[in-house]
Amino acid sequence: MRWMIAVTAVAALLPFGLSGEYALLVATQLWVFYMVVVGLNLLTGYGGQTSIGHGALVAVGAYVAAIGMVDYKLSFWLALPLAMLGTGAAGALMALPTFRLSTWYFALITLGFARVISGLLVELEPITHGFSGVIGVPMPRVGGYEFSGRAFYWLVLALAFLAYLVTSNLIGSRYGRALMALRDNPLAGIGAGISLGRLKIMAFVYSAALAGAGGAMFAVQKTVITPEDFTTDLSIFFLLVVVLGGLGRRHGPLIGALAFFLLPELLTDLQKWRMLIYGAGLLLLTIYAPDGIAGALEGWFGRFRPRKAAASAPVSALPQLAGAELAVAAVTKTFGGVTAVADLSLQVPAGTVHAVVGPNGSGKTTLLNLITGFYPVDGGRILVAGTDVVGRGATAIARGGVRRTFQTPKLIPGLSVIENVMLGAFTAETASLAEVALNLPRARREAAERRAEAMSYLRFVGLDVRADDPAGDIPHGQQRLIEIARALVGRPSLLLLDEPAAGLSLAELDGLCALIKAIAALGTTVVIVEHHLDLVASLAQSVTVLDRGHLLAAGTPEAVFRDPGVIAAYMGARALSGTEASHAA
Amino acid sequence: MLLEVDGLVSGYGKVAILDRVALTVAPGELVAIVGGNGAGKSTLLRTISGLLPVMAGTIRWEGRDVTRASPRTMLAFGLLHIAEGRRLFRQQSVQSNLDLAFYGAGLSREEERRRIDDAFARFPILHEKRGEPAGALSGGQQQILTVAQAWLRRPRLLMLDEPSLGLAPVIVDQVLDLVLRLRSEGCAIILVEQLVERAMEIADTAYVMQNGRIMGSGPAREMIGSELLQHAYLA
Amino acid sequence: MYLDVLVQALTAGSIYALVGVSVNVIYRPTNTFNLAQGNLVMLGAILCATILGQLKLPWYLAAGITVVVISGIAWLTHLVAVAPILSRPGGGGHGWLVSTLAVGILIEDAVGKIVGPDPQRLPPPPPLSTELGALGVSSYQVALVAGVVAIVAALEIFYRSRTGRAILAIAEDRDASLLWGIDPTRLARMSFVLSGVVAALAGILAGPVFYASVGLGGSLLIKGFEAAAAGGIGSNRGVILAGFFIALLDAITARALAPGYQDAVSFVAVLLLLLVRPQGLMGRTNLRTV
Repeated sequence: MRWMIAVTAVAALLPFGLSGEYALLVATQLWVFYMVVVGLNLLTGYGGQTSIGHGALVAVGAYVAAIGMVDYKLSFWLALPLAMLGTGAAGALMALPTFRLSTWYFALITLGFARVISGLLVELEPITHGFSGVIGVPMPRVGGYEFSGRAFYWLVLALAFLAYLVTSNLIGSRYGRALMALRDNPLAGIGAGISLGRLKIMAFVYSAALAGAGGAMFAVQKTVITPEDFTTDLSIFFLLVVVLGGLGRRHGPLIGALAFFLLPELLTDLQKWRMLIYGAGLLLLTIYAPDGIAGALEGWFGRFRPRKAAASAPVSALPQLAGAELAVAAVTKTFGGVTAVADLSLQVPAGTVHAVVGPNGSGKTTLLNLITGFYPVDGGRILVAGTDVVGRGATAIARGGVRRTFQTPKLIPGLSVIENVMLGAFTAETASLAEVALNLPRARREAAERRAEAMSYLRFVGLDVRADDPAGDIPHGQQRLIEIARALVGRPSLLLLDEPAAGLSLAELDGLCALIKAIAALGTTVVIVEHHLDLVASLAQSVTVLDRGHLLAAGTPEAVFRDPGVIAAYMGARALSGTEASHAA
Repeated sequence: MLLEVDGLVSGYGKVAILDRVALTVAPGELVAIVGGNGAGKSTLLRTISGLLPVMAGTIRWEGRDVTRASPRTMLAFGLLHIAEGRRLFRQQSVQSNLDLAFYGAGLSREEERRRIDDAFARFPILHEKRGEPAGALSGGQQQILTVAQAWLRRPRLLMLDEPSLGLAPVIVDQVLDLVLRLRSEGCAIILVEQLVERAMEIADTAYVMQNGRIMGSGPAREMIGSELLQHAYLA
Repeated sequence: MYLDVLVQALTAGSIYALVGVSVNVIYRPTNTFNLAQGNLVMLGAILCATILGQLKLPWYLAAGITVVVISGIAWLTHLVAVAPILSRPGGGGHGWLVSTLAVGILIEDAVGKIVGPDPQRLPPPPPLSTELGALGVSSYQVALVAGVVAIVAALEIFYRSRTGRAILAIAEDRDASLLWGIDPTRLARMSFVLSGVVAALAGILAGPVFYASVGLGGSLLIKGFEAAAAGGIGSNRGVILAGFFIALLDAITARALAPGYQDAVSFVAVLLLLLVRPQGLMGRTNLRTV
């Protein structure tokens, strides 16, 4: 932030130092393109959705604005939002088919879109004027005052700064965290109840709208636009700038744009070799410096910067949670020829702890995936607080208050520990996108509340001291605790823990036992898939034993672990006197 | 010694899971590795076979240093690792899965045919289902298929990870029986198994793992009911 | 009247399908997509035409040299732009999208600088001719369709061999295939070379019916991708089907509307198909495991 203000201040003074029209023109163009790249960075850098057709969006924006101002005599102040609206709609259309598709489809769709647009700019001659283009785009005016020359430069600069500000706010908000989840660990996002499809559309619409604004400014600056202005080169150029600056780095677009404009302007003789330089640059960067200049600088300065001590954020009191009853009725799931869960029923009263045990491969984790909607159910019903959740999808079920942890913790390595926890509260935030984007008081207050809440759950699991460390640096056992905190911050009515004790040492195990008891005391219903029988015996009010997908026994731990069938099939050969010892424990 | 592992440290990313593991396997020996979930048993197998890079320590094969060898090299030496969870190529036919067991083995066509015929004679169910995709087999049949693959390859050391996973006791008996038959042909075996007692009954030597460490080892039969074993499962 | 639309669709559809198949060849073992693929096809057409025009070599020799050069470039692409990214921990995300795009830019610009923007004429191999014969079909067009079918059939036979099935095994379970001694990097490299061969053949076959110009690369990349996506990534039968449908749609659009609209119409059609059926016509749906 400080950096950006400083750069903007210097940039604002620049016109006084520049000599000649050309320098001002280049400087104006820099900020126009900066605006586009900021949006592309949100989409490609943070969201991981590579767009190689951003130039086409700029073209749409430029044409909408130019046609509006020239043919329909609209004022710039109306044409600009129209351009953003038009590109936003185009962006939404483009993102729609990629809902259920792998990320790389998206890249190719943007490429195809770019080709189609460049074809249509020529083909739709009655509207676009074909090859001759749109001529005589007027400068913006307010009353009798015309923004031209320096004034226009300042206008562009102000809008670019605004784009930075709003994008920065978004990236720092729950939307930014969700985007990084979409990029790095989509399952974590789904588990937190985030609709990744809607998020993709939002990111693309936003990014497209910024491209549209850039296009409108571009049209005004050039006064004449033709299809020739929007070749594939333009899209490649934007991608190169964002990769050069650093994908997913807040100041990446600025660094990339500055580097890109300062160098080639000094070497205008090389214009002819432009595409070769772009190509070689992209190739070298992706292979040798995937994090761009900003990433390299970060690595360089990070070594000298002392690690931040954990912020002593305020902590809020933990609220009581309303537990939901869980009823699984005759649920079946098969994979190919293998029946993973067969005609299984179980009941968990609200506010109790229930354990699902059984040998490896008996269907425990599958059951958990069925309850949370990660796998579709083949038959049967699953009721949470009396509502059938079968067929509702994992995101909707998570929003309904069913939260889970994973056997292998799914954290976002690029986010700090506390940000990973805050991801779990995504659906709890009520501040609108606009409020978040403009960082209005309500959004700010809410963000502070969420942080305090996340901190209090981190303290609850005993990791508040590591709140500001990157999640990627945390040992495995503790990652699981972060996941538990993330699930809790979503205020679950039903919490499902998948083997929380795997790989823990004896001492850590005691801590975990106490933690789960404390979670149960908060009031939520807990279902735990676990191997450690003593842990189960000391925690759970009821136990279900699975064997090859079938229900083997159900009841209190005492009764179940004494059941001869259970001992024979499951524990008999295994834990030997372990069951007795666990009873003694 | 066929295999000697010493001071082995490895894990995922920056996080180490194995903590200075030492282990030896003699030719024809059946070694059982037991321990709770998350003890590091699968990590150990994955490191030995070269799927995971070694952070510290050494792995020797007949005295030769193979610490940094790839899975391909280890297989060429005669070490076959069957991973946990019946990792078949589910969209390919049973016949194709069996055939891929010869990948890179450099056998003559006749030898391959002889072994396939032999396998079909031993596992008639596979002959019956040879045209079906492996994913359409039942769990037990899938496990038999993986053991049959190992049988075709004739490794000198077979590492088998949780063969009983999700199988009915009768099938488990069949699978373990196959393991014993493999050993009687001179193949050494490392068996990671959750059915501790069953593993202990058939193994020569047992290692108990916990938190990435070997807590103790000894003749398998003597360890049944030992304090060490109980401790490993209580933790 | 309608026959020439059909003939046009069959001709163009064969080329689209072949490009789509070359996409699949890489996708199967690596789950990546070479964005330079279209430019490899374009280079195939231009290189062959140049060798014929400048060096006056026999047609089949020129085609042979072209195949070797193009597959060499594909090999280099894997070595320089794909393998280093896939070997990063976590697979390097989608960095290969940008790196192969960069390779495509380099090829396209280099060709543009050396050959210039004018389309090159690539004659059909003797004794075939592009002269329209009876029924408005040229002998070359018949051979083209037959050639494409033969190439795809040969590929399908290859995928039944042990090496071919090992490539499919990598796509299904990388770790398990490693344990069976299958080397994903080596087979990925082999697949890039193979896909280069198919791309070169696509270019050589396309040359006599399309204009062999620099602009061909970008449009064939999109058409090939559309065919692969609409047919179902990884399914060669689906790709052939989709390739013909797209070409048919193009031909009808050109006739009924204007040639300038055909890219837009088929693009929208493919997007609509993917919206309804994300796995394409003949693709499989994969269940993600948690």
